[in-house]
Formats: sequence, structure tokens, C-alpha cells
Amino acid sequence: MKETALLKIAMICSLVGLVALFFISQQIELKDYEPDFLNNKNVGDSVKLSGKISKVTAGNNVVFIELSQQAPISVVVFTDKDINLNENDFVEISGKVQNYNGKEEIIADKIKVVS
Amino acid sequence: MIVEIIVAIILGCLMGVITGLTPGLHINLVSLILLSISPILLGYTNVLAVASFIIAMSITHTFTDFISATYLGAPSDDTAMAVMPAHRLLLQGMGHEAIRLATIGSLLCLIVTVALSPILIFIVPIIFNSLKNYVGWLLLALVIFMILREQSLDKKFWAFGIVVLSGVLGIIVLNMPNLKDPLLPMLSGLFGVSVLLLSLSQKVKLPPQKVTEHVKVGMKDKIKSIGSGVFSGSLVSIFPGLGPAQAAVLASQIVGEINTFSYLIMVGGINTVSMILSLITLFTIEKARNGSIIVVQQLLKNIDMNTLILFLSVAMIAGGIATFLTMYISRIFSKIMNKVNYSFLSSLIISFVCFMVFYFSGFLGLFILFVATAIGLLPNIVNVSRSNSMACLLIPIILLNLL
Repeated sequence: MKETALLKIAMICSLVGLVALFFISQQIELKDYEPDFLNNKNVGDSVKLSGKISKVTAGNNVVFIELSQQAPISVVVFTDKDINLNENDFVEISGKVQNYNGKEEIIADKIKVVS
Repeated sequence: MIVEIIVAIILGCLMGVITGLTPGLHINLVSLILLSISPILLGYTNVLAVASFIIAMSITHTFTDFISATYLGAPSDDTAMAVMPAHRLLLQGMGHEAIRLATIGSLLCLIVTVALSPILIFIVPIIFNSLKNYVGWLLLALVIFMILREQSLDKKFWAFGIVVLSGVLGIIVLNMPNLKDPLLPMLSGLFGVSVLLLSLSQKVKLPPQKVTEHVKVGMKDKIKSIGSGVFSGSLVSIFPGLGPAQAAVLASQIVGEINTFSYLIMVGGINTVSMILSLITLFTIEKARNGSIIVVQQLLKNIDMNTLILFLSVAMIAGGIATFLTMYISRIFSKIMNKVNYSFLSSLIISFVCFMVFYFSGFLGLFILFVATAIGLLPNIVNVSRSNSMACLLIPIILLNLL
């Protein structure tokens, strides 16, 4: 097979792929695929992640954070100090995975506002 | 979403070129880095785009890693079995031809596998469930056959010796705790540095590399190569522990005597097929047989039919782009090879491989490289097939399956 023939086949292959991609991408719901950050972790695993805060709820010695991802991740920060966290803050979190009422969440050991 | 995916494919193809050309830089490593930074990435793009990047990179890598295997004699675990025939063509001034043949294999096998995917979706679970307990016996029979096919009793003895030495090396290396990237020093020694040292000791002069199209493979041989490439590449994805290199050994025994050109088409196809089949096994039996596809699985958990079709489309686009990139880069390499002193280049590559081994695996890696190189020199000295050294991966897998 000559190189020109090979390249023609490559071109057709890419074009067929593009057409298929165009049609199939209309059929796929992105929400079907939530990033599986916590599903791949076991309870007790240490994790480190970063993301934008989409929701903050402060309680008595505890702050609940929701990290904005395709599947929001719940983070719980136990603290006896006042911590100033706001929505849209970009944070880095280290902590451990815990199961609470059948839902996995992160109990933060350390939280740092990046921007 | 489609724009993000197309951008991801293009970036993935470019990354596949980098991983393919850099000895020691594996797609699994890049995929794992992506997984670790996925929480940040997913703030900017969607998970399907990240998965598409990984698939495009993986497919492109299966095309471009033949460039470093051929011109630099630096194999990965995917190209170990192709180094010798490709290197032989390089020494005849036909490096570009070797790349062209491997690329033909990769592209045609990709198209055939995608075309067969509706059938494979039904067949894969049946084959997996009926044969999964016999992988060890199948590979044991393969190793015995590899030894027995040597012509004289003397050579059979040496082949047995090389199988034992490589097997023991594989068992030790693959069971070493705290050794990062164990395959890099072992395979680089057995199939890379040993070949380059032989070239250096024989004062091999590289003839001018010509960008020619003299090699013609007949339709019958082409069909045979593509068919065996698709068959053995499928085995890699269905059976745990079987890699492209073992599949190449298996395929070369199944198809019998084929010439170097047909062999390169077949080996070129195996790696690409195994990547596509990994997507199909992820869909059918929910098992990813490949490091980068495992990362896709971790990102998505399971995939449905629509997503499988999307990923096959991504693979086709990436395969087409990878063909252009591979042929273009091969031409550049051909020109460069004409300008550099081959002995100097071989020494440079050996130094680079040593550096990469030291970087990834430390002093222990260098020691493994030294031992593997010594074993890798044996097949040439005693004139038996180098594929016997693949026992370094076959024996550990046999023991894992049978014990």
C-alpha cells in the first residue's frame, strides 16, 4: 500500500469518526457521567483535592462545604475557630473519606484557600 | 460538548506523539497524572473530554511508539517484539518503510476492529467466561513451543536457558517492592540496550535512510497479518495478564512463517487492537485491561452503548490523525538519521535510557538494566530467537495463573 493511499484511508477514517462523533454527542447526557472521585475511594482513605466552593453552610463548630464539580463533593470541616470561606473561593482540601447516611463525604484535616 | 471533545482529541494526539517518542514515558503515567488532577480539570471541562483525551493519546501512542522502537531501538512493552525486525530494516536504510508497515497495521486493524465491534460486543463475554481459567496453560504451551521450534538440540538447550534466565529475572523484578516502573529497565535491557550494544560492538554503519515505497505486501499476506493482529490483539484485552508482546509471540506462532514485512504489519496492529478492545471489554465485562483505560473507568465507572460509540469515534479520529503524524515524524527522523553518526547516536540513546531508568527506578533499576542487558545479549551470541526473552513476562503470568 502506497503512503498516499494510507493517508487517504486515514483521512476517511477521521471523517467517518467525526460524523459519528457529531451524531452520538447529541445523544449523550453529560449528567450520566459524574466524575467518580469518591466512588473510587474507600472509607478511611486519605484524599487531597481542589475545587471551587459552590455552597458554604456554617454550623456550631462545623462548616459544610460543597465543592463545585460535575458531581458536587461534600466536605465537612470541624473547627473551633472562625474560618472565613466564601462561595467561589478556590480551595485545596486534605482529609479522609467517610460514609455518612449512605453518602460519602470528606472530613477535612486541612483546608487552604488558593484564590 | 463536541468542541471540547475535538480539542481534547487534538491535544491527546499531540501528547501521544510525546509519549511515543520518549523512551520510558508511558501513557499510563500521563493518565494517572490526569486522574490525580481531574478534580481541577473537571472545573473547566467535562469528564467525557478528559476521557477522550486519554483515548486519543493512547491510540496515537500505539502508532508513534514504533518510531522510537525503530530509529532509536528503544522498545516499550508494546513494541518489544517489533524492535528486531524494524531495526533490521533500519540497517538496510529502510527505517521509514518499517514505520509505514507498522502504521498500515495499526490503521487497518483499527478500522477492522471498529467495524467488527458489533460482533465483538457479543463474542467477548462468551470467550472471556469460557476461557478465563486456561490462560496459564495456553501460555505454558506457547513457551514450550517457542523452545521446541529451535532447530538443533543445542539451540533448544540455549533457548531453554534463556527462557529460564529471563523468567527468573521477570519473577524477581515484577515482585520487587518499592520499584517504580519495573518494565522499563527489564525490557530496555533485554530488547533495547543489548541490541544497541551489539550494533556498537559490530561497528554497524547505518546506511542512508531513504523514504521509499519499495516494499509491497501481497493482499493475501496483508489479510493474514491484519487478521492475526486483530485476533491476538483481542486476546490481550480479553485475558488478564496477557500483553501485546506476548500476543505478538502467540500470533507469530499461530500464523507460522511470515516475512518481516507482514510481521511488522501484524505487530503494528496488535497494540492498537488491544486498546480498542479494552474499550469494548470495559463496556461488556466491565473490565479495563489497560492502564490508561483503567483511568477512563475510574473517571466514568461504567460506560453505556452511546458512550462506547463516542469512544470508538474518538479512536477513529485519533487513528487518522496519528497516521499523518507518524508518517510525517518518520520522514523527519529519516533525515536526521542521515546526518548523525550512528555509533554516537546509539551511545547517546543508551545514556538516555540509563538516565530514564535511574530517574524512574533508581540504582536498583540500573542494576536490573545491567542484568537484563547481559541476558539480552545471549540470543545473538548463541543464535536463537530473541522472542525467548519474552519469558520475562510470560513465566510470571503463567505462575500467577497456575499456582
